[in-house]
This record gives sequence, structure tokens and C-alpha cells, in this order.
Amino acid sequence: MHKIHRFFLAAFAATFFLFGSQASMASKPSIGFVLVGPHNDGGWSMRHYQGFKSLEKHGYESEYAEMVPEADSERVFRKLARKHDVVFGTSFGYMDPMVAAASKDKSNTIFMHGTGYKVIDGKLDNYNCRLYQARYLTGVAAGMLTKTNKIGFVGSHPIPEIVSNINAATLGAQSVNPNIEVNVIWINSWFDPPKDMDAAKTVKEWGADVLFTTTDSPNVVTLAQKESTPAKPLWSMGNDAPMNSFGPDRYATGAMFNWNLFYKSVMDSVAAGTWKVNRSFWGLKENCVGLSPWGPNVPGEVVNKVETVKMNWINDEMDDDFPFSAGFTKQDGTVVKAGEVGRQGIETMQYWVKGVISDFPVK
Amino acid sequence: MEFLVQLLIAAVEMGTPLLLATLGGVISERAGVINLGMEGLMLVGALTAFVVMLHTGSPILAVALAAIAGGLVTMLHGLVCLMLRANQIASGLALTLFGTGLSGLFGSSLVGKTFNPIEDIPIPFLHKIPLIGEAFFNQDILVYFSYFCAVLTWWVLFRTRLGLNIRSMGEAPEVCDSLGLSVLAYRFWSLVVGGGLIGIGGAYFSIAMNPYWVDFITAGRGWIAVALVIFALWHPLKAMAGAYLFGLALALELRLQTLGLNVSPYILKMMPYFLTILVLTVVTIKNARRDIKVMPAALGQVFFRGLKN
Amino acid sequence: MRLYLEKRDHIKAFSRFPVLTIALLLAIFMSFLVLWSVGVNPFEAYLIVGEEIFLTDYGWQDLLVKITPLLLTGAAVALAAQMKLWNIGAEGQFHMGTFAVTWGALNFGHLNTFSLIPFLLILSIIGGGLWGCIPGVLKSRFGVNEIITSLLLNYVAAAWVDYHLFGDWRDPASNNFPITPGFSESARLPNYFDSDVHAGLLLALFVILVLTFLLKKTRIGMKIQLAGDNLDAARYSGISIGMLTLIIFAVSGAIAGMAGFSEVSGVHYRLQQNISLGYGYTGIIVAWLARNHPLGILLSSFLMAVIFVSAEILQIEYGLPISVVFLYQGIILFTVLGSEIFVEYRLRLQKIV
Repeated sequence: MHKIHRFFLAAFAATFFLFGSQASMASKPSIGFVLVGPHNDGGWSMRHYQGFKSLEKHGYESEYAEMVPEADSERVFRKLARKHDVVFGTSFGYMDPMVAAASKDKSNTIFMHGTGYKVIDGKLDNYNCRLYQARYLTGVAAGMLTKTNKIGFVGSHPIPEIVSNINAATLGAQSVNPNIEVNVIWINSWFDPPKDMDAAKTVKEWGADVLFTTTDSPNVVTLAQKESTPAKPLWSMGNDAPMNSFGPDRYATGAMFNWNLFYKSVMDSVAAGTWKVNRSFWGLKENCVGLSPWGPNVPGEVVNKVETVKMNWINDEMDDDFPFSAGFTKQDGTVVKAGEVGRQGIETMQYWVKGVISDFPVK
Repeated sequence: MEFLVQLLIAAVEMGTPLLLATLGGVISERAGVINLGMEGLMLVGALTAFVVMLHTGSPILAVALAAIAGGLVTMLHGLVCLMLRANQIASGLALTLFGTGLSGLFGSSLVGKTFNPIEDIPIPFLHKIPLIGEAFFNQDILVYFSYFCAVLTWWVLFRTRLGLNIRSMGEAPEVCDSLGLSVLAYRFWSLVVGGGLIGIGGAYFSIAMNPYWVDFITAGRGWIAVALVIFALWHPLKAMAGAYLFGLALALELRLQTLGLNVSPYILKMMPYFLTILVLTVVTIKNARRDIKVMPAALGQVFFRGLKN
Repeated sequence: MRLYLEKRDHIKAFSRFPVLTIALLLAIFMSFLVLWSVGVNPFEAYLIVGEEIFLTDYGWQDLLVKITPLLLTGAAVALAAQMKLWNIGAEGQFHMGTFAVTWGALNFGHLNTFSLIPFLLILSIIGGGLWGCIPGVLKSRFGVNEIITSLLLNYVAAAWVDYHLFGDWRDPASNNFPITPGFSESARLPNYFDSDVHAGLLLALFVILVLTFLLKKTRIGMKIQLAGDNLDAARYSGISIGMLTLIIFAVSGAIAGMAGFSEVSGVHYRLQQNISLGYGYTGIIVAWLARNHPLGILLSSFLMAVIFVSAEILQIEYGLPISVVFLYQGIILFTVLGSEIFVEYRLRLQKIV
């Protein structure tokens, strides 16, 4: 039975070969990916999931496992590596499990780790994207929208990724409004919608009228929609994915990921045999991060201003490491000169810029 | 002052789902059945309420169906640990897995949908009381419902024949049985009614607090409620105090940050549990002296009648 | 007509097997319905899961690695259950074991493996054992219910580990992500057969062997059995129940702590979140299904490990969301738990006159 099957497959392949068919399905490398949250979490994991699934129309099939705890992930990576040509992991905590799985793997499988820094030549690459660029733009919008000059953030855990985003938004807001104060409330959890909502209320009570979140729960959007009044208007900014459906009236915009192009480029290079370790760090210019659609009530001048800054950036008026590359003042008054903070500095950022009023939470 | 008012409002909001679930736990544990499936049941309630609210916009229907769903799913636990007398703890864990799975499975198509959360309704005069008025009497209908449930549960458990019977099931099922009461029926229905309340507790998340659906929306609150049942010493009115105290701890953790006080959230997290152990120990010692038991004596014990040994 | 249950006259040693077989068949049938309802061909799914687990070399590895912590937490719970005590706190004792081991590995990583590994083992015994002593003391000294205290201490232990993980133990080299630095080579348990199976499995089997011996052949074992059968009789015969309770809880905690050691030094080589995938709670199920019998613990941890490992297989092969897997696990557990009764009782139909 099995042999007959094989025979037909071989005959099939031969036919394709003879008649010069273009890139049969079987020749496209396949993807296995691992998500740290549920594939429909409305943010981080969902955007990765959508990115991979968008490749199906290009012939790159994928399988995945979700909610895989970091501590139990090595096994899952190895399991996927036995079946697939490229294995992706999308949480920082997968770094060492992926390194372990990649070094034990004897096949030609390629490992791609999102948001880490370790690589193995010819085997394991890491990638990330410059979400802080989009966050800077949302900061510019927030600086123009705020009436109280107070901007509030709901944070999960103070890892560098989130710290740099909050700093970038602060610098963006200051670029149009030097009197901005930024406060951050940490929920100290990766996922906790009820507490997240209370954190959104807490920053609102503090006086913020533009509410940001760095978690995947749309609570700031819901809250702004519910509690905004003509006398005390509130605005909300989404995170990771468009969140406008949760409160369209008071939704401004949001920083979001767009992995489709990046994942396609990786898979294309694998298919073409040109893949190599290059630690990609895509941003606005590559359309790997961007702004979610503007809310209908955002004043036109805000949209114009932010879109202009964005176009200038894409047209190379600012470099990739902007706003940090332009120099800034830290919360403690230390001046950081232009060019001092680059990619490395952004990826390990553990301090506030001036304008953030909460204490830095570490230790 | 404003700070305190906001703190109390948040404490009541965070405490309400805990209170409802805790009351559910109190009822079933008073009858002698431990329910470790609370997290799963809250998720089932949350999903049911969300779906109903999305399609009908009626919070009352949403809450009613959440209660029914919670009760129905709890019946599985009742079937396995009461009728088939399996271990209550193991069966409760199975219930959590089951409920979590069920909610995730049927919820996956609802991600991204939303509606207006239920409105706050100020109670005339009462909501003007300084400090506590805003917190306790300017809330949504589920909050008021939870007060009602707490008082009703207390009244039924401690002031009616039915309640006496229920409590006896948790104290001395053999005696009840010899008096001709059906231990199985009392325990089963207490468990199911409790499951309904836990379902309503879950509904609070999806229709009042976070009007959208994501998997695991309750984020472990069911486990806090498991601990709260004990903290409240199986008493519905103390459950109120306990739930708001836990709510206060949650609300305080966030609001201390705005005051610039960097207390470790992890140390803060431990405190209620230590406190519970301490309270339980003190009460046990005191009661041992007076020879009264606070904890249902037959809690978690299998009772089985009609055996031909 | 009514249905009722009748106690079997005598339970044969192997009468559990037919019942368990029927239960498993029923579980399989119910999970068939779940799989079928989400559009998966259940026959094919079971074949693939079976093939992945039993017919591949990595399947066995995964299984043995997963069995290891369950053997220990199962043994921990089962030991307490010998005296009709419920240790719901194996999860917390596991965490305290990992905490103590991590402390040792981070501070004494320079020692050679022959001194470090025993030292870490002792640390895990102390960590888990002391944590187990808290409900033990409260129970024996003040009569505080051990189910509740041990359960509550799980939350405390988890927060305690988080406190260090998100605080001073964060690895600066890991961009301040909440994971500790990796353990030195000398702090890692050896692996066998060029696989993931590590020395923790031997430790677990050894612990179960010793426990069996202690319970069956020693005086303290007899005392425990006696106290488990009839507390009052034991008390009148002069056994100090309080002392015995404390000892049981300390040892039970120590065993759960060892499970933490085996995981952190045998699998992960560092402390991070979610090292225990609920092993402590699963240990309760393991012990219950095993009816506290050593051989039973082997079988029931095997069953639980199969359920754990099949989770990703179903996800990867069929694109099922994790929630289906939870549902499926819940149903299997319910069925197996619910069937237990038929070992001791048989269902009878009675005509009511």
C-alpha cells in the first residue's frame, strides 16, 4: 500500500518535472511556529499568527502550537523541527530552549527566534522589529491630543522592549509639547484583563487623558469610550494590533506589528537557499511596524502632523535608531549625546527619559 | 479623599466577582463538598454571559444563563465526586480543565467583538454618603445583586430549616442520613447552586469589567476565590469582608505606584494568604477551647448510603 | 426499578484492571466525541498520538521526562494519604525545592559536580521539607486543616519564586527577562543514553522503592498504616499522632521538593516561570488513581504523562487550539475518576415492590 503511494508520488513529481511546472507546492519550505499566548489573544501572538497564515497564499504551509510555556518549549521546538524546514519561536523566553533545540538538531531545519540576541551561524537567527518607532509617532499624536499634559501607560513587566517603547512615546510627545508628563502603572503580570482595567482606571484617576497600553488587553480603549465626556475628553491608543473596534469614538491610533512582509522575506530566502543569520530589526521603512487606522474623531491636524513625521522618517530624514540616536536627557538628568544609544542600547534599555515621572521599578 | 474614594470603588469592583464566586464556594463547602473547579466555572459563566449579552443586550438574561451554565457544568463534578464518590479535589481539578477548555473552544470565534458594559446605577440618597457612598451605592446592578446574594445566602444558611439541613450535611452526614434526609440530594443541589453563583461571578468579568472575550479572561480569580472561602471561614457575610479586602489589596498594588511607593507586588501578593492561614489558625485554636468547629467537619469526605456491606 | 451500588464481596487483587480498562475505553470514546465535534478524525488522531509517543525514540524520551516529576509529586501526596492526610501543597513544596536548588546553584556553581549535586539535593529536601512542615506543625499542634493550609501555601510559594525571578535573580544578560542565569555544568544532572532522560528518573524510582520498603517493613511504616486505618486505635496504642503527622508532612514536602530539584537541575538548568506545569496538583490525581500503591503510581504517572505529551501532538498535527486539549484532558480525568467506584462496588438493578 505504502509503496504504491510512493510510486504515485514519484510519478507525480516526474510529471511536474517533465512539463516544467513552476515551483510545485511540495518544494516550498514549511513552517512550524510556537506562540507563547493563545493565537487569538488580540495582540502579540495574534499578529504573529496572522503573519504566518498570510504566507499560505504564497505556498508556505504552517503548523503551530500555542500557549507553550517557556520552560516546556524545547521539546515542542524539536517536535516541530522534525517536520518542518523553518521553526519560529515568538517569545524572548524561548531563546535558550531554541538554542538547545537548534544545537541538538541534526537536520537542515532553520530556527528563527523573535526578540532575542543569540545566533548560531547557519542554524539559528533572531529577529525583532522596531515597534518604538511607531510608538514615537503615537507619542506625537498624544502630545497634540492631550489637554491635561498627562499621558498614562499600562505596563506589563518592565522589560527593555516595553521601557524603550514608553520612552519613545515620551520623546514623541515632547517633540510637540514640552510640558508632557508620563506615568506608568505596572500590572506585574503578562496577562490579567481585570487588573489591567483597574490599571487603566488608575492612570485616568491620576489625570491622564491619553491612555496607552503595552499589554494586549483593549481596556484603555473600552475605558476611554465609556468615560470620556465633552468636558473631560479621553483618548486611547492601541497596542500590537488594531483595537479600534473596542471603542471607535475615542480611539486615536496605536503602534502595531505587521509581520507578513518580514516572514515572507525569511521564507523566500530559505526557498531560494540564500538564508543566513542577519539579526533583522525591521521598522517603519520596511513596513514591519506601523500605525493602526486612525479613529474617526481625531482632528485632521493631528493626523497630518503624524503622517508627515512618518513620511519624513520613511524618506530617511531620521535614522532607524531615532529618537534615541538624536540624544535625550534621562530621568535623573544625565544627558545622553546624539549617537550614544544605538540598537544595543535600545534592546537593553532599563531607565526612563526625562518626562516620565514614575520611578523605575527594578529592584 | 478622592484617592480613597477611587480606591474603595476599585476595591468593590475587583471584589465583586470574588464575592459571588466565594458565596458559591461557601454554599457547597457548607454542605461538605469542596469545589476546586471554580476557575473553570467562572470562565464558563463569563463566556455564556458574553455571548448572551452580545446577542440580546440583556444583562439580566446574560446573568441568568451564566448561572444556569455554571450550574450545569458543576453537575459533572457532582456526578463524579458525589454519585460516583471520586476524590473531590481531583474531580475539581478536572472541572477546571473542562471549563477552561469549553470556554476557550466556544469563545474563539468571539474574539474582537464588544458591546457597552453594563451601566452604573446610583442608588438614591445612599450614593451621597461620604467616602463609602460612591464605592458601594454607585455601581452596576451585579454589584447590588452580590450584596443581595450575600445576605440571602447568610439568611438561608443560618436562619432557615433548609440552611440548617445544608450545614448539617457538612457537619454530620451520617446523622442527617439517619434522620431520613438525602445527603446526596442536599449536597448535589448545594453544589449546583454554588456553581451557578460562581458562573455569575465569571459573568461580571465579561459584561461589567472587560466587555470583550479573550481566553482565560478571569486570569486566575477562581483560585483566589477558593482561598477566600476559607478566609471567610465559610460565612457569607465574612465573605463580603474578605472579597473586598482582597479587592482592596489588588487595587492598592496599582495605586501605591501613583504615590511613588515601590512596595514589591510579590510580597503584597503573599500577604492575604499568610493572613488567611493566621486567621484560620487563631480561629481553630479558639474554637478548640470552646469546642465549636468553624470548618465543616465532614468537608471533602465521601458519604455513601445504601450499601450492602 | 432503581439502580443502586452494591459493595463487592471481595476485591481481587487484579479486579481493578477490567474496571480501569472499561474506564479508559469510555474516556477514549468521550474524547472521540470531542475530537469528532471539532472536525478531527479521532481514529487517525489516536493513531498519530500513539505513533508519536510509543513508536518514536523521542516519544519515549518525552514520556520518561514527564513521568519523572509526576512520580515524585505523586509519591509525596500518596505518602501523606497513607495517614489519611491530604497534602494539596505539593505544588508549593515543588516551588520551594526549585527555589532552594536555584539558590545553591547560583551561589555555589563553582563546586565540582560530585559535591554540588548532593548539596543541591539536600537543599531541595530542606526547601520542600520545611515548606511541608508548616501545614504539618499547624495540623499536629493546633489541629488546623491541612488541606487548606497546604493549598494556601502554594500561592505564597509561587509569589516567593516570582519575587526572586522578577527581582535580584534576573539574568542581566537576558535583557532583564525574568529568568535566572543558566546553571553551571556541575549543577546539572547527567543524561542517559544520549537522550533527555536524566538522573531524576532514577531518583524518583529510588524514592518510591524506599518508601515502599519503609511503609511495609519498618516500625514507623507500621505505625503510619495503623494510624491511617484507625486513628483512635493508633492513639491508644501509644503512637504519637502529632509527631507522626509532622514527620509525614516533612517527608512528603521533601519528596515534592526533590521533584523541583529534578526538574530544575535535570531539564531546565535555570529557574523561570511555569517550571511546574501543575505537577503538584497532578500529583494528587496520580496518587488518587494509584490508590497510593507504588506500582499504581508508576501506572498513573504514565497515564498523566501521556495526557501531557499528547497536548502538543494534537495541536501541531491538527491545529487544535489548546482549549480543545484542556477539554479533552478534563473529560479523560472525569471518566477515569468516575469509574474508580466500580472497583469496589457493582451496579445493581433492584425491583421496588
